[in-house]
This record gives sequence, C-alpha cells and structure tokens, in this order.
Amino acid sequence: MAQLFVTCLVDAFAPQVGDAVVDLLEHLDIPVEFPEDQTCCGQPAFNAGFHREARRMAVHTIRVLDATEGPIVVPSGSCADMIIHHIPELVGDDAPLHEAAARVAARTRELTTYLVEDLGVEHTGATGDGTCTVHHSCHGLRNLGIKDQPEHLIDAVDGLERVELEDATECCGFGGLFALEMPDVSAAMLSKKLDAIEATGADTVVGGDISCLMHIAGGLHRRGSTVEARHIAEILDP
Amino acid sequence: MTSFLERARADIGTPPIAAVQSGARRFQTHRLTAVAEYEAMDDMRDRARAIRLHTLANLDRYLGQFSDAVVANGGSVFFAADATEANDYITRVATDRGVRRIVKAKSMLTEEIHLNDALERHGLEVIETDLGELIVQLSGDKPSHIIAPVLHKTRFEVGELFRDQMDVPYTDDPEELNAIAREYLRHRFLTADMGISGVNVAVASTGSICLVTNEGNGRLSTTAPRIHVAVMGMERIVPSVGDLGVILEVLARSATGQKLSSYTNILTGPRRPGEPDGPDELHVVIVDNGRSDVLAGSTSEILACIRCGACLNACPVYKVVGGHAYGTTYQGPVGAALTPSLFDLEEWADLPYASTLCGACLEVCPVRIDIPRLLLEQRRRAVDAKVGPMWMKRPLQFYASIATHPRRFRRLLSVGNLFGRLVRSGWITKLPWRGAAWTDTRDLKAPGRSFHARWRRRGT
Amino acid sequence: MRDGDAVERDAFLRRAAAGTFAEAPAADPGALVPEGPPGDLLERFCDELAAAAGAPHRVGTVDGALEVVLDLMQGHHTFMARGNLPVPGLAGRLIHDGYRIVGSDVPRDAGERRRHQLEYESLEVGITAVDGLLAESGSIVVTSGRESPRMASLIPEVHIALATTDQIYWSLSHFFSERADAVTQGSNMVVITGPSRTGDIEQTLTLGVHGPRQLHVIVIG
Repeated sequence: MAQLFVTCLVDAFAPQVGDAVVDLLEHLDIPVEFPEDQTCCGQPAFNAGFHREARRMAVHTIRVLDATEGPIVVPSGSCADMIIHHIPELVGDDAPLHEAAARVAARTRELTTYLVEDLGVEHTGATGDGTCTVHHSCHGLRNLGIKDQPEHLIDAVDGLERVELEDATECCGFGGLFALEMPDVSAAMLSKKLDAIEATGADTVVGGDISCLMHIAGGLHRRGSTVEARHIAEILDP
Repeated sequence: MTSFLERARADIGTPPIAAVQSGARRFQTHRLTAVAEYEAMDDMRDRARAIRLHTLANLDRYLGQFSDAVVANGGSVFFAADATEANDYITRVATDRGVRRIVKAKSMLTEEIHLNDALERHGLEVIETDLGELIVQLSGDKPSHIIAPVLHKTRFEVGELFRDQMDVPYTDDPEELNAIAREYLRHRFLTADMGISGVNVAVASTGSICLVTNEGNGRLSTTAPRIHVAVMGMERIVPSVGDLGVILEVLARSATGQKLSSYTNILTGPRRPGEPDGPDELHVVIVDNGRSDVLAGSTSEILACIRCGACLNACPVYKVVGGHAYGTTYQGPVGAALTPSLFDLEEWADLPYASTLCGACLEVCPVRIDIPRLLLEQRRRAVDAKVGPMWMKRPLQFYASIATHPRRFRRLLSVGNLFGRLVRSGWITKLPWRGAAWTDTRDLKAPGRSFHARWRRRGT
Repeated sequence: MRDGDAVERDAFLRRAAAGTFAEAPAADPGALVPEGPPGDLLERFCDELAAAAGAPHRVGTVDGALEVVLDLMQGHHTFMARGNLPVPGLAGRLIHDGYRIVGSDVPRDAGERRRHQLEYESLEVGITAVDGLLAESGSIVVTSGRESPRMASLIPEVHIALATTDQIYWSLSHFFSERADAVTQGSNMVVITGPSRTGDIEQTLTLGVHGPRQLHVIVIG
C-alpha cells in the first residue's frame, strides 16, 4: 500500500499525472491511498524566503501524512526534496513536530525512485511510440540522485525511442517564483532548453516534475511547437 | 541603484554575453576533463573543505601565527579593519617611500576596496598587469568573470583599444596583441617602485603567501619593484604547507582544468640577505571590510571560498546574464551568497533571488560550499528584514491560509477549474499584474477538474 | 610604519574569533598525498611537460646537457646564470663562446636598482637549476637563493632549466610532504608548469605573456 502525495501543481494543472500514478501503481499490485486533506508542502514560500508561511503549510502536510502508513509516493523531485530535506529543519524548533517530520521524510519517495529502488521494477508494461527526450529536473537530479532511474524505465517502454538531450542536466529556468521574479532570465534559460529539445527531433519531452514541464510546455506552445511535454508517470502508465 | 533584473535585461541576448557563455562552457569542459583524470578529486575536495572550515573556526589563532611569522621573516603586517584603513596604509607606504609608479597583479580584493582610486587620488600611477585587467583598466570597463575579466570582449575591441591607448598599429591577432601588451608592460614592470598583489592562499605556520597565475605578471610585479604590498582577505589562509598542497590540487583543476597554473608562486618574506633579487620590503595588508560580520553570521560558510570561479561556469543564470548583471565585485553564485552579508543587505537583497537553486554550483565547488542553502538563508534574511520581494507576502499568506484548511483548498481548486473552463483553447495566454511575467513569454495550461475532484469521482 | 600595532591587531583578531562551525574538525586536517602510479615517472614528466607546451630533453651525461644548452643558445646573445648549476663551468663556457652574461645582483639603492633592472630588457636566455620535477603535471620547482636569481626563470624569452633524474617526485603534494624545507629555504619558491600563457583574449591561448615563451627542461641521468 502506498500513500499518494500528489503535489499542488499536479492537483490543479495536471491531474492526469495523478491518475497515471494511481493506475501505474495499481497495475503493480500496490493499492493506493490518497489522504484527502493534503494541500501543498510549502516549497514555493520556503524557496522565496517566507519561512513563516512555509512553516504553516509544512506543519499541515506533516500532520496529514504522519497520520498515514506506508511509503509516501511523490511524482515530483522538488516536492520530495522539500519533504525529505527541508521540512524537518523548518520545524526543528518543535521536538514532537520535528520527530513527525523525520518520520514522514523517511517514508517519502519520489516516484521513479520508488519504482526502481523500492519495488525493483524494470519495466512497467507500458508501450509507446515515436521518440522522446528526457529533461532532468534539478532538485531531483542533484538533491535526490534521480537520473538513471527514469532513463532505465523509459528505455524499457516498448516502441518508444529515447534520444539524448544536449545539456540535459542544465536548469530549464523555472525555479518556482523565480519565473515571476526574474522573468527575462527565466525566459532566456527556457529558450536554451527549448532549442535543445527541438534539436533532438523528438516528439515528446519527458520530465519528473510538473513545475519544469508547465514552464517548458508553456514555452513550446507559445513557439507553436508540436513537441509535447509529458510527465514520466504518463509515459510509464500501461 | 539599478536592480539585478534591470542590469540583466540590458545584457541578456547580447554578443558579449554569448562570449561569456562560450568562455564559461569551455572552462566547464576543461574542468570535467581534469576531474575525470584525477582519481583523488573527491577525497581532495572533502579534505579541502575540512581544512577551510577548521581554519575559519580558529581564524584568530592562525592569523596571529601568520602575522608573527611574516614579521619574523622580515616583512610587515598591517591589520585593516576596513577599506579606508587598508587604502590609507598602502598610500602612506607609497608616499613615505617615494613611490611613483605601481604595478598591480590581479586582485579582486583591491577592486572591492577601490584601492586604485585611492592611490590615483594621491597622484600615484597604477598599472594593471594582468592582461584582462589591463584591458579593463584601459577601457574603463568592469570585469565580467572573477578569473577571466574580459570574457565579454572581442579581439577586435582589444585591437582598437590598444591602437587608441598604446599608440600602436591596429591588429586583432591575439598573438600580436599579446606581444604588444608584453612590450608595453615590460618597461613598466622594470621601472615600477612598488608591486601590489592579492593573496590566493596564505600559510600560517610559515608566514608564506601563495599567488597563482598563468601570465607571469604576478611574479614580475612581486619581484622587480623594491616594495611588494600583498593585500589579503582575512579568510584566505590555511594552517600549514600540507594544507596549501590540498588547496592547490583542487584550485586550478576547478578553475581552468589545468593541473597547476603556469606559476604557483610561494613568497616567504622579502629578499633574504645574500639573495640576488626580489623586493626589499614586503607588506602584508590583512583586510576585514565586513568579513568578520559574515564570519559571525549565518552565512559564514561562504568564507571557505578559494575563488576558483567554477560556480560561475556551472551556473545557468550566470551564463545567460554574464558578470556585469551582478553589479559588484563578486559575481555568480559565490557573489550572490556573499554580497548581502559582506555589504548592505537591502542594497543587495535581490542577488540571492537570481537563482533557481538548481545546485550546479554545489556540484562543482572544490570546497563543497552549500551555496543553495546559503542563498535560501540570504532570502530568509531579506524577508525577515522586509527587503525581499515583499509583494509576495500577501499572496503567500493567502495561499497559506487556504493550504492549511483542506476544504478551502478544494474550493480553490474548483474555482480554478471554473476559470479554466472559460479558456476555450485550454491555454491561458495573458495574465494580469504579476502574472504577466509568466505570460509575456509563455502560455499556461488552463486548470481543469483537479485531482482531488477526480479522486472523489473515482469513489474510492 | 605600523608593524602589527598591538591594539589594532588584538581588536582585529578578536573579531576573527567570531566563527563557529559545527562540522569543522578540531585539529588541522593536514595533507592528503595520493599515491603515484607505477612505472617511469620521468617519462610521465616529459609527456606532461610537452603537453603543457614545454620542451623536455633527456640526456645521459653532463656533457650531453652542455651540448643541448649550446644548441639552444644559437641565435641568442645574452644569458643569465649563476654557479649552482648541475653543469659545472657552464657560464664560463658560454662567455668563452661569445655570449654576454647579464648580471643578476640587484642593488638595494632605488635608482641603481632601476638602472640595473633596465638591463634585463636585453636578457634573452635564463639558465637555472631546479629543486624538483613533478611528474603528474610536468612542473619544475625553482627556489630562490644566493646562487638562484628569481629573474632568470622570469624575465627572458627562453628559460632553460637543468635537472637530474633523482629530483623527480610524483606530485606537488608529494613534493611538499618530502621537501617541506624547500618551501621556505629561500624567499621564493615557484612551481612552473610550462611557459607563461593567457587565454584572456577570446579564450585563445597565447604563450609568453610576461614570463618566458619557451621553457626547456634538460634532465640529466
């Protein structure tokens, strides 16, 4: 049994990703529970330096998740990183809360890490077509070591070809509220990423974080590109 | 006072930035090669970090030991609490000793304290001898990278500059430009009365200072003139020669991908009795200028920096905006982490926000400074002091009050769905107020029925 | 002049004591000296020196070294050398062959110093001994001393360094661990890796900026 922490962006902007995660896990005989009171881990506020606001959301998240059992699966490297690395410190001043946060952190897994490392999945039974390229979201990549797992899972998808993205590990320029606070810089970084994506000739760009993907998809659409941006859960859903 | 964003806007997409980017990428590639070939790199970085943190934790002891050793070697030490004290001391030494001409090796610290201006105000001639810094000086420009000051300039610009400033025929061939600079500076080196350098790393136990250069100007500036003044940031020190070795193993590899730079120069006191050449006087000016405040504060880890520039080369923000956008001596990730603590928080509060916290800097830092963590801490400091992006406060407070009440949150999601359905194409192309920052360059997928709502529909 | 004025120094050092670092080791961590590879370090040294745009020369004897020096002096007129070279009588031989030696003793008087050093503008070749060869990077270690002027390896276009095979070390860290004395035996120790260079103009590598354009290392033995 696994708990799904779907993340606020998936909830609001890409609910199909949540559906895909549920379908995918159930296909692997893992029953999924969705703690309904979940909302947002507080990352945007935390990253912007607003610790008081972030803490309120973090505390709520801890309470909701600590009342559950089993692995907490998160289809986002950055949210998983927030829960695992930052929330415990954010409530470090309150011993019981800190302990609860540590318990929650210990159970939290980004989706592909859960599939590959916890479940030992090599292929999910999904099929596909065309070519895709993978963008490695920074928080998952550098803070959680997520790079090979998504690539191996995608390579096992029958019919789907994967091509390497140049500068795959270079940031796309989303950065949370950075996208609004430093828009020209964000746009310049996005432009480089989109050029690289289009240069691969792939019809789909795949990523593990809906935050990056919204930014990339928004840029692709504005350019009139036919390249689609998909979350890896959607690719792996059989 | 302009903002980071305003400065960045002026530079993004311009040819100088393209040059900076390709230069930074080249350094990145070279670094990767050097690191791949050096099996001990990871262990060396761990050791380098341990050495730097141990030193910073005992900085008073090591600076005291260093100062005693310099004096025992026949040198002088001046402890400068701030820029003014440092500049006054150096100017006094110059005027007391009848100095007229000064040659300078590259030193960011001397830029930080505006030493050249102070010396020139006293009628002293100051000549930058690092080729990049010379170009910056002659063109009245500012450096765009902490170890490669003129990444942003083309050889055509340099050719024109030399023609105009040095009265030589125009050429844009780098070899010829190089020869012109060598010729121009040679005479000046040999007739200068004082040489001023920075200090890459000082060694406490021996009272030595180590200078790392490629051109040889660092050696000439500190050998030809009769007086050598070394300006040193108080944090740039290690306990022993063995520690120096560790730092040197990671420094050049991280900066340019060289195993060692052309000249790793260790100076221990002025010329000794019987030695044929070298300066007769050595003055080491140890500068605080805000460093002790950083040391006492919550971002003290940044003082471990050995100024290799690898974080600049790795930074995706630096590579699209270049160095000038930072508006200050220390650029890129290290600059963003250091400046709001070293100088005024309010003035520099936007620098730490010029980052997506991607972590590329931490990945390459030879002393493993957790720059993303420091940037988050600077942001927290800025918000607490109410000089951060305070426009976000009300929206985030609103969001927090929604996100701590599940029913309100679900209601917000349905409101989003309602608005989303109004967008026929499924894509939002224009948002008001701050939202325009998104839609100016990107579309936004319109929200639909939330996962929460769909889950309820599942009936699970 | 203020020489570490006590009051200012104490106040400064007090402020320098403000740092606390939970992670910092209590004792000086000290050196890390990675093992070198097996095999011929001298061959590695020569390869690395060449890769750094220097010119290695291996000779069996002192006479062989002399021949290389005479060959390299062709087309030049002036040189700087002192008595500590592993090729005894080299300076005398060059003078005998018609080359002019440039004096390396810099006077202490300011005016005389300037006059003397202006002579260096005509110095073409500097010949020095070394204190060590570093195989990993193709570097040479040169320390200043009574018979070892800094300028000889710095000012001329051509620097000829004379070394013997027993002076080889694997790396700088190795050298520091075995020859800590060398670091402070003179007022200056310089580790030289190839000729002087810059990439400041459009990242184009050019050699011989302010230091020598050519570095020759003759290894005897």
